[in-house]
Amino acid sequence: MSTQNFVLDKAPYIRKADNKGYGTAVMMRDFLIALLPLILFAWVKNGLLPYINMDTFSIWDMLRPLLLVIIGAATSYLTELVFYLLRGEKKVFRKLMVSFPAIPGILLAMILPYGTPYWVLVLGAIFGTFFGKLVFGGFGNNIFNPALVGYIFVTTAFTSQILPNYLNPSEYFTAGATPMATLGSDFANGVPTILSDYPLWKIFVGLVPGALAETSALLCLVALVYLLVRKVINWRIPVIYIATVFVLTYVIGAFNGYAADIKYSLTYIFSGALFFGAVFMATEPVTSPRSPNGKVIYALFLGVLTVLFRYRSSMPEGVATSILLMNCFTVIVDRLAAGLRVAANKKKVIVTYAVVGLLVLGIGAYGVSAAVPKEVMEEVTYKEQVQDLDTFDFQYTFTVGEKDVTVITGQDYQIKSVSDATYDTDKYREKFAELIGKHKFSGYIASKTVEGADTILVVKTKRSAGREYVTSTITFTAGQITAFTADTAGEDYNDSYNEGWQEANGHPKDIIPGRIIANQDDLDAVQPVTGATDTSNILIQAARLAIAYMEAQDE
Amino acid sequence: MFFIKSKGTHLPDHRGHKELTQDKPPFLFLNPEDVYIPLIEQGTPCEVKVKVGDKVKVGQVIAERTDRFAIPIHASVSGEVVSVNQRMWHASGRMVPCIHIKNDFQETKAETIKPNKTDGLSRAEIIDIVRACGVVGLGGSGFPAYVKYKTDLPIDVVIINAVECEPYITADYAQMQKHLDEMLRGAEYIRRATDANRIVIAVKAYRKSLIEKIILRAGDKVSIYPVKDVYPAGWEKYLVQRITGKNYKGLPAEAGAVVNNSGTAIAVCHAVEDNMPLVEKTVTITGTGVKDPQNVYTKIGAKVSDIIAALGGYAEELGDAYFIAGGPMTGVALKFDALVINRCLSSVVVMPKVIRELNPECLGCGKCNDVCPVFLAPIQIKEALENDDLDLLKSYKPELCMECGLCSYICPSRIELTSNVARAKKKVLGSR
Repeated sequence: MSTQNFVLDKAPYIRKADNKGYGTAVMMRDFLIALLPLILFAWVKNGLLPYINMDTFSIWDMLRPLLLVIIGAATSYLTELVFYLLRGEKKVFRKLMVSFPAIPGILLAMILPYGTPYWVLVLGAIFGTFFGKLVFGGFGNNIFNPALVGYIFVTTAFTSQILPNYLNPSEYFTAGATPMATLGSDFANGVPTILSDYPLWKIFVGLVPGALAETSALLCLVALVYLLVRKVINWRIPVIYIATVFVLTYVIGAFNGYAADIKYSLTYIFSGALFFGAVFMATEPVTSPRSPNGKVIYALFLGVLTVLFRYRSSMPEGVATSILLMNCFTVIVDRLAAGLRVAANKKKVIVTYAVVGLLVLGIGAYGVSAAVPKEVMEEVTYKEQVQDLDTFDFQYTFTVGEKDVTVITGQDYQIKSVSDATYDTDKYREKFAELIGKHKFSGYIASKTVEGADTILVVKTKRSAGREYVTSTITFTAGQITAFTADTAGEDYNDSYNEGWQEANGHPKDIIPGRIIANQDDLDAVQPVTGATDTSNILIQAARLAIAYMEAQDE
Repeated sequence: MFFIKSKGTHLPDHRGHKELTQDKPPFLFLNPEDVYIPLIEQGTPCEVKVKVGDKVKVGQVIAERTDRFAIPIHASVSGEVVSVNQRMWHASGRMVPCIHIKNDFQETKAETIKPNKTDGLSRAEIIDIVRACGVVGLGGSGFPAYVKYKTDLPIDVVIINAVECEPYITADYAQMQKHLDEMLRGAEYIRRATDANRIVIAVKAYRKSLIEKIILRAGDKVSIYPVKDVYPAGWEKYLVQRITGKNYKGLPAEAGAVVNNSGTAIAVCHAVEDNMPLVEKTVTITGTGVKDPQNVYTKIGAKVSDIIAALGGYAEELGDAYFIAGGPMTGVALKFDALVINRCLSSVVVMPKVIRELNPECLGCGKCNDVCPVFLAPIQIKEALENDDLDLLKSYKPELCMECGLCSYICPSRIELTSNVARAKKKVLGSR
């Protein structure tokens, strides 16, 4: 009889993880394998090609992309090593084997630009590893993606070291700005501007300026397929995330004249860190939800937040921020989703998804609305103004676009009619009124009455924009001015215009009319009242207008 | 009710383990020197009906379960009762009292064992015979078969579960190869016992030759439901949901179905035709830890250590190994091999322990969520259990878990999920 003793354990006794080709370490290895083509591409694009094409490029410049990645990896590895050593941890290297310490540094190096100083990268990797990972208890316990924590740290603390470095040396000569910078500065016209610089395939392949290794959407897609086949990540987050951004940018594109063309949204999703973020950052398993429903909700929010940040904030890139923001909600989303999945309760599922849908739609709509153009107004410029001498109304002519539009107003400057119905809208009337306010008549004929042989004209004139009109009532008999009454109640002679006027000089309203009547054939000869020249002049001006009018009537 | 079909997961390279035994003819081990009939049924102690020194015959009632699922327990060999309180290891993982019978190798049969006229049997009579012969569900639960037939609910379909989805086990398959006609007749008796309209036999779709054979023998009297090679496709709920399109909470009868294991159908056939109680069964003794893995046709109460000795013992240089009563996904590991075969034990797996000791923490991949047939969130249940958050735990509904083991199986960090969810299940059920 056998006396074999057996070992006890918990069911099940076959574990996939006991196989050599499966397990967390294998998944992390596959994750690194998926990153390799991107690192190589970054080296070719930022190191090798400039080295071949430029004489001034040193061998160290050529190796810089690889050095950045290596330094990033080493820094975060050493940070963890030192941390565990200082804590007096036993079996430090065993612990490091299962905490995958190099990954945050590698990722950080890949999302920083080529020209980032090494010391900035080192600081970022230390910060990200320590505050993003170790303080939470190491691998598996961190709330935020360590690489992104480091990224946000260095981009905010050392903005001046990073922002100017987005172009690699060869790109200084060929390119003006990164696509993201162009898109961020002008969302209506950004896309055509970019597409004139880089064809869409170049953006897709990644031959555009940008961070070290995140420019290639194509290679990210390849990596995505690899990771999906290896079952390292789940399709939900990357696919839904990118699809959400695609749909929202399509809507924005449609508002901006790209309704029949997906070029706009394609440019948007291929530019910047979206693919890299969706494949490598958002799917980071520790910091993203674990349940399938949670992944869907998480990815939807990532999509709308990215669009929101890209269009509404001052930063052109919203991927890192939205992933970090959603990292905060991972636990909540997971709790909600776990209860949801097992609830087998239609109402609960529908209500939850309705709330999520509304939130997503709301944030999405707000993000989209930033890029929706206002009603397009053509440029309106003032051209000329004349008085209609039959009706005494005012006629303003404006140039709108390439057309002339005539606007008739009463003497109170209220718009009576607009000659072109296209521009007879509230918005244009507002614009016309605004321009009319700036171009008021300096003098006009207010009215005309005929009493027997006498023709009585009321003429209004004024000195400058802010002043009241002075009303002059001028009586013509047989073509000659026979009477002139001036109402200068609004005039004040003690102001800067009429400096030096004294009571003894007499009021212009009393003195000038007599002089006008006396010199009506040669008004230039009328002497203004000393110290009240301006007031005198507008009375003379009224007389000129009246005479000109009378002469025009005779013809 | 929001009806979501439970789902299965393909276990790659574990279909393979069935080749250890599946093409071998049954190995007969019908003459054990001693048998130990466990005095426990589904955890319920049974009342002993014999005394030490009594001579018993094959098929004689020696004990009885007396609760609402009353069912007799029979002697599986003829001989003398040596003890009525011999403690032996049981498939539940505990030592249980057993009736120890010393075999006299005479195979004297009890008088009750005689052929029946099957044609005139009414529904009630069949049910009574099945009860008297102690037929229980042989799929693993040990639920008395007659209770399922005695339902007042209208039954539409009898499902014969020949899926055997758990890795390594081939007992049902081996038995069907040999007793296919009995199984089909047994299925017909079950149909009569439940007034059902039709019989559906659920078989793994890759068992093509078996399907051909069934069609050849049964024609259109039964229909075949081929299931995908996924685990746990042989789970009662999984089959009922797919075959009837209905869900249920308690028993399958709520969905108009009665589910019986193929072995149970054979036992029903023997009971109805010959009044033969359930005293013999097929057990797969397998795993790389056994020299000669076999489907063993043996007496209930036989000691597994005796059978393994008859099979040539354990593999050499076994080292640390598991001795598992039941399948590798749901079974119970035992420290000693003095295990007795009870009525619902279908396999014993002995396999070397291969464990990767260095395991990282949960990386949050969510694979346990993805595989769960009842859509639980095992890792979150475990965390809620560790944080002692009962309200949160309740919202995760761990009581739906049926401990299939898939979450622990799939976990890349080798976290003990199944056992923790099972604990959570107990805790939630206990707090009600």
